[in-house]
Amino acid sequence: MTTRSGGYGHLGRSHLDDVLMGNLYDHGVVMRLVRYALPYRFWAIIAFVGMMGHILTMVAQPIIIAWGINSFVLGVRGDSDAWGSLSLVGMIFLGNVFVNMVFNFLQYIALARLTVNVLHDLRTEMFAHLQSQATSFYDRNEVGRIMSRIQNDVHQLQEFTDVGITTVGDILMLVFIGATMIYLDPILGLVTLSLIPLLIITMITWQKKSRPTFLGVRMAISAVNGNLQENVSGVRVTQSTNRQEVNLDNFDTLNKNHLDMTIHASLLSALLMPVVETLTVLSMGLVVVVGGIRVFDGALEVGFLVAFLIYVQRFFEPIRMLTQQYTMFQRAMASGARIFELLDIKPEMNDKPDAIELPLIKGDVVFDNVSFGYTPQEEVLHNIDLHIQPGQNVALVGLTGAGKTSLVALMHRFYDVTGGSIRIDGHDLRDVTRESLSGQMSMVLQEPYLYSMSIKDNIKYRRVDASDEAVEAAATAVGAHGFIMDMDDGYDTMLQQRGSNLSMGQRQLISFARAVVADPRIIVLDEATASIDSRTEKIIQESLKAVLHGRTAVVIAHRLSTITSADVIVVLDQGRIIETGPHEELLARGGLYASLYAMNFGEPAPQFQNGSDDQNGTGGLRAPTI
Amino acid sequence: MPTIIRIIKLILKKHKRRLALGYISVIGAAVTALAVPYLIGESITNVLDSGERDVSGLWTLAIALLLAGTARGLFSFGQTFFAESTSQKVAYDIRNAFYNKLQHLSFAFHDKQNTGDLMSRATADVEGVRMFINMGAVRFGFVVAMVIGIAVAMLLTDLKMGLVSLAFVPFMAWRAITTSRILRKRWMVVQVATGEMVTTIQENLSGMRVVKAFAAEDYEKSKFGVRATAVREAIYDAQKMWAKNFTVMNFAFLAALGAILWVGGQSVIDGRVINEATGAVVYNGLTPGELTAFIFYMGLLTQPVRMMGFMVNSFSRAASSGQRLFEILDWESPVDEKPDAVVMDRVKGKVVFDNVSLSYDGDNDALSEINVEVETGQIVALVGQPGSGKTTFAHLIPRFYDATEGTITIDGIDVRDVTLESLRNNIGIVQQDVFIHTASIGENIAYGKGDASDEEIREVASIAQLHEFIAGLPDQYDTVVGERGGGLSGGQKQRLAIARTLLMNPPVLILDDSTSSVDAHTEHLVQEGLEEVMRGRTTFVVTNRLSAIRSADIILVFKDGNIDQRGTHEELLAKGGEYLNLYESQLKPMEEAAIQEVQQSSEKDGSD
Ligand SMILES: Nc1ncnc2c1ncn2[C@@H]1O[C@H](COP(=O)(O)OP(=O)(O)OP(=O)(O)O)[C@@H](O)[C@H]1O
Ligand SMILES: Nc1ncnc2c1ncn2[C@@H]1O[C@H](COP(=O)(O)OP(=O)(O)OP(=O)(O)O)[C@@H](O)[C@H]1O
Ligand SMILES: [Mg+2]
Repeated sequence: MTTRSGGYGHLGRSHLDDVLMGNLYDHGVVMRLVRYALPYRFWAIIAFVGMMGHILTMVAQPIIIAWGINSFVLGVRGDSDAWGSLSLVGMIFLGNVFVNMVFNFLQYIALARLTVNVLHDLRTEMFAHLQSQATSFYDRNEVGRIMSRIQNDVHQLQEFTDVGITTVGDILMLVFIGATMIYLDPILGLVTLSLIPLLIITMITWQKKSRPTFLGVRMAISAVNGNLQENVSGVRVTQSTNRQEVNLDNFDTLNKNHLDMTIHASLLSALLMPVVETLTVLSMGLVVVVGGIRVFDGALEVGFLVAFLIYVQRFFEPIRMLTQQYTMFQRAMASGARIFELLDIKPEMNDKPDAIELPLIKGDVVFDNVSFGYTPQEEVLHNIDLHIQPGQNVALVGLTGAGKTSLVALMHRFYDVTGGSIRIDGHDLRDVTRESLSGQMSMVLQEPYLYSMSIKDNIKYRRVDASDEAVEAAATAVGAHGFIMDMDDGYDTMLQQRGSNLSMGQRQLISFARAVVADPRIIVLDEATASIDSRTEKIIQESLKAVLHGRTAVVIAHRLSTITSADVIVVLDQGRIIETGPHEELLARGGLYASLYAMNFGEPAPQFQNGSDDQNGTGGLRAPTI
Repeated sequence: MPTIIRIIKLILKKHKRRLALGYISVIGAAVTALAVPYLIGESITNVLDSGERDVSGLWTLAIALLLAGTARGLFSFGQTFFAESTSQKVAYDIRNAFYNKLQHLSFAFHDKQNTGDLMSRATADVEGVRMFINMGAVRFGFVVAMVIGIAVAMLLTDLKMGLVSLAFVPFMAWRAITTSRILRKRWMVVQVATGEMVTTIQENLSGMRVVKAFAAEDYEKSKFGVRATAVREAIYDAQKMWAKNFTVMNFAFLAALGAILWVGGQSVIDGRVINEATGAVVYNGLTPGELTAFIFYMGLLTQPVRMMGFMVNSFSRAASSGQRLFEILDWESPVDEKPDAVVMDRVKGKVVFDNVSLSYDGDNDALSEINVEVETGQIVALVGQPGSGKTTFAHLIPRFYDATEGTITIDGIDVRDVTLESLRNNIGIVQQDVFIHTASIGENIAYGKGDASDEEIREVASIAQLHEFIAGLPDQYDTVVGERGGGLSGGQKQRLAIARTLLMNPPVLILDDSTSSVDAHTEHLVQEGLEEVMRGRTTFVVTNRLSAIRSADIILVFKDGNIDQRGTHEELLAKGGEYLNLYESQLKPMEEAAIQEVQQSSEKDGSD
């Protein structure tokens, strides 16, 4: 508990390890990206053609200029030839510029089309992939962290593809310019290019030195955002506990750390500027001296000297850009690696290859010696044997933390059992497709989660094609119709995030209606009415009887008035079933259930002792295991 | 435009010096940069000076070039560094301000705001503003300095040629401005679409259990598909616009280069005189050296021209991003402290609602004309149907919302006359919707009191009946619980929230349905523990369990935003009506029978 004041938002027992800084070029990442581009090769080809056209016209320009200069510097006054050639040169130059523009435009448009498509596909695939992950994946990974992959990392790639691919063009341009220079005058060309190794050495040293800093910036910003995200979600707790100042202090520490890192990083990237600049003029100086001498020697025409100087200028311009994009490359590679890492996580509970479609079920559920633990070290449920008959109404009762939610989660195959098996109508859950299983089951979760859509759309969540009548019937059955109609827009009332413009009880009712509309064979109610007063609940129960008729129902409730009429009551304690039977029988037995029941109206059983942590099972609450 | 001015004011407020250094570097960089084309022109002149083989002159020029270039490099360093660091410092300021603002905006604001949207403002929009400071505010100076410098140099060299070369600058400026307007709108579309997409993802991930429970994966995918496609098209539209603008600007620049070659070349030819006797060539008009210099001036203009494209972009983005940030920063919190708010000392706990009404939307009252008087130390139970206004009532006491009408006083002091912090220090509330942080259990309990000792933490955990569970965990109080309490059962979360509030030791305590997911046995133990600590405190308990209600001094029965009935358990039972209904539906039928049965069975047990 030593770190109490800091670090909110970035504590992880995470599955997703964050690779923060990649290499300049990661072959695996690039090749996989290329695979995404394949369907859009038409645009890729157009982009490439545009790029080549752009490069070639750019490389040709200094030659046209040289030609112009030579033809009139060497021409004679009044010579119509000189005039003629100059106009021609001018026209050709303008033509070149126009063609250049067309190609350039083609390049950008095709690139834009290509990259938005690739990124869209990537995003869509990530989203789809996330849908196939098991519940345990979400236990381990914070939403914020996953969000950052699908949001920031894809954005990072977006930036990279925007600028990165033009960098490929820049590099090609360097090659063409280099080749042209050597072709025009090998000696001068080699002299100019002789500075390249120097540049490369500088860059390599620089990147070694700067890598930790850029890594630090990435870590710092993700800490900042994680903290902010949690603060926004938990703002109601912050305000009720007056923690604003402490929070701001913590945030400021992270924010300041990020600032220091970025300033250091900007110092490092700015350092490259004078280096590149000096190399540029050094090389221009060399061209002036060596080229001048060669002109004096008659080995080079003045026009080409000018062309060389222009080449040098255009040569270092992309390099200047490259230095700026350097870190972006590294970030993009890291982002790519993170995205693919996510895509490569195998869903823990994929359907078996030979999984069958679960046929329309009667709703016969068997727990056969089931054991389960969220982690291998700690078992939460031990040797559960339970048989639920079709159409039966079963209640689960037990102390808090006994494992009731876990038990129904297994039934829905949120998790796989670690021992034993669960069978529905004789089919092991692991042998059927998840879709066909969930399609016949509905669950009202302990914490109602609603979406920011209209009330109607929320209720129709599972049956998008449900008619308005069906929606209303469901809402009426759960007793929500009244308050919905009281709202200004009725069923079209838009809910805010998590349904925060409804009271908790109202949210539970909507989430209840959502499960009813789904028309399931098996319905699970996990404290679905915990926040609802017993009178309202009683009214609901009457109408629900009709709705639940013929369906298998598992109901978890702490307020026992909710479940007295259940066919069977199953009492769980510390992950074991300790009592089963109908209400009267259990009452008569005088075990845990009877005690809980008595306590429901505030009268502790006379022999009452501490039950939940009584390891020996000797307390009055403990009943013999059946 | 006002947005941009505000951003600039933000820079000027704290970072004048850094900005000034940035501008000095900008001017230095521009001036030294101008020397390069001049020196190149001179070199060509030197080379062309026919007959003479002036190699040492070439060396001098080369060294001058090197010096000028190096100087320019150093200035560029300053420019980049100061621009970048200023922008980072402003981003740091904005982030802190944004964070703090969000912390202080009241519930009504957060009810309507999506986490995803706020996050995108804090990340993408802050970045948008930062880029503008970097690209727009500082480098804009560079662009202006360069354009002016080059213009002057060109015009001084040759007036006519200068005018020809600069003809495209107004065209560029015009394009930049018109495009900026359209681009700005397009980026807005991108931002809005992205925001919607992010919200969809966020909700999908947060509600993953619902998705799984209903096998709604395909539905979610199609929902996401629509959003993602909208984003794709919006980005493409913006990029297309940008590309059009960029290539046209580039074209104008290159065409100007062509014009220089053509017109300038003509000028050289027109002014060239060849001395027939010596063969020496004299240039009366433009010299070839100057022409070369012009070409390089033009080359020098590439950089600012290219940047203009980016700048137009960053300018538009900053305008929309800034607007989105300032919208939040300027938001007037519906609940705000008076300027003369006083500090509320530790209160005794007499709470009075005087004719209080509240409406969330301005039309319908969620509470109407509530009058309640609670004496120090009393326990008040709030009961009623879902949506009857219990939580709303509770939230008014610590001023999470302000009453639309009427006043609420504690010990006779209007809650609106005191500072929020001192008010909330006096009121501990366990909210119905429990939020647990991703942190260790110990950290979570100590959330409202960072300096709590381990003993204090253990003590409140014991009262909340959580200690034994925690003690059984391998890492005990250091066990990290996941987002929103992942890894805890519903009842464990609620009790954690109770412990967290108890640690603050408030004289007024509000428990909003805080044991709904706790079994009766544990609840009973919690109550026993609470009774101990609650002595002398005023307590409000929202509950649906009548077992918890019976011991209350006053029971308030809420119905449709009104208090339908009030009194003690016995009084209300005698009165009949709503409370009696409630009672009968839950307790009556089981009461006698149960007590009987339990007693019977316990006798049986005892005889074992
Ligand atoms: N996702 C999880 N990862 C690890 N442990 C968990 C997780 N969910 C629950 N647990 C632990 O498993 C045990 C059983 O939890 P479960 O939610 O099944 O209890 P419950 O009977 O539903 O309790 P309640 O009545 O309080 O809702 C608890 O000790 C809890 O801390
Ligand atoms: N943030 C909000 N914005 C708009 N309307 C709201 C908001 N919170 C609650 N309401 C509405 O105000 C009314 C009272 O809600 P409140 O939360 O006070 O009910 P409650 O008595 O606490 O109910 P429950 O027992 O379900 O918790 C309801 O009709 C609800 O829809
Ligand atoms: Mg409520």
